[in-house]
Amino acid sequence: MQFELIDRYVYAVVKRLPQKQRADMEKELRTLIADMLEQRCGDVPPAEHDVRVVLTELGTPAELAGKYDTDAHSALIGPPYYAKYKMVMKIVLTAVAGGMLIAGLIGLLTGDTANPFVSVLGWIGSVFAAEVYAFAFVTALFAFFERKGVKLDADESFNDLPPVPVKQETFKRHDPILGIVFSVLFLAVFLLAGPKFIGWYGEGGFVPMLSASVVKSLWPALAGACALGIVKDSFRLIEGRYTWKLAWVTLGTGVLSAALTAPFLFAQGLVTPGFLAAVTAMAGGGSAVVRDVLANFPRIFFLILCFAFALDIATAFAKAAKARKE
Amino acid sequence: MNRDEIFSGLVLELRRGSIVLAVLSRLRQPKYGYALVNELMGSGVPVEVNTLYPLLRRLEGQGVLTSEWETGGAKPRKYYVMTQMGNELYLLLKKQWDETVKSMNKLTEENDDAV
Repeated sequence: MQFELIDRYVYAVVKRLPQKQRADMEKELRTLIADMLEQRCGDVPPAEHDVRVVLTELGTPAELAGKYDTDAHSALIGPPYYAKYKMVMKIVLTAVAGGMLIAGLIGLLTGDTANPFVSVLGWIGSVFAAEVYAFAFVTALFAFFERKGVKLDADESFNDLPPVPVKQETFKRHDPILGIVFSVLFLAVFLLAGPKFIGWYGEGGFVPMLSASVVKSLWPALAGACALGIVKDSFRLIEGRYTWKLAWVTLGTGVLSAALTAPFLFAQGLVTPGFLAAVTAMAGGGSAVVRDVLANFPRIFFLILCFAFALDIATAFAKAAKARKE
Repeated sequence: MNRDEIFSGLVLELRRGSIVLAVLSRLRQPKYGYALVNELMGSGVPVEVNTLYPLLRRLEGQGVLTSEWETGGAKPRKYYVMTQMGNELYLLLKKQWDETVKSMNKLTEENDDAV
């Protein structure tokens, strides 16, 4: 009683099962099929048709193997996460597209390309790329939540039920959305237009403020800082209110962002000497204070940035504590 | 969906939970899967092959059943039997079942009077 169809069927089933079960399953399945054929045909040798009937009763290989599959994580992003995944995805994609749209318009308006058509094409390409990155990013984040079983809602027990939020403890949805738009916009404008258009427009022509080569060599750190900002804002969207978890995420992303921005802002020659000279000359030339401030501008900017991060973190913790108390 | 379809769906749901009890009741002695299918069918508890076999594996994985290959016959057969823990579970489950049947009967019989 040798049917190739049985071999194929058994193979198709066991290849879907975990490696260590396969040999055992194959033996059991073969005996089962033989038993079923025997019961169906009795002493008459079974025909190909009988094999088909028996296998149909067992179901397609995928169906049968599926019944053996007890893996709870059979979906990349399963039910408890899917609704939030969809919500966050929609918002992030829209925000990224919005940011890129504005960045594109700015680029177009200030563009030095002779042919705006080419710029538009390039811009469509970057929007597409940015959306693909954002999609992959959000998906990876939620796949991680699903695998690790991260709880996204703090409603585990009755005692943990959060109080109905009063107005000041929630934020409007546009708040994190604006954050994401701003992150994308900042990065795009800064990297695309920074060395080209930000600078001193004096009589002697345009003097760029930032050194193109420094920007070029350190931009991944800056991009990382912006990505962290998007992580934080995405998480704000997920949580929808001030919580301890959000406070810790704010702390983590803030500290990391500051660490990533530091080498950029402390880089030698970030502000071009030409720009320094031009501005110092404009500001009266002689004043040492003005010169110092200008020369140290990136460092001062870094301090302001750190202050902003610290404020953000402090607010997150304070509001989380307040929300808990009430 | 018509009435018959809804009904067969409900019957399926009703049976689903009781299959384990039926299976365990037959596994004080070692048996192989297909013999169990036939035995249950003969007792008026039809179970589909592709439901029972995965169930046996799952119960074995949970330590309710244990298995042994019997290779002496014409075909190699995997025999399943209840473990000590399986037997304890079976007795508990049976008690639960008896209580459920009693309560359900009471509920439905009250209705019989009314009808």
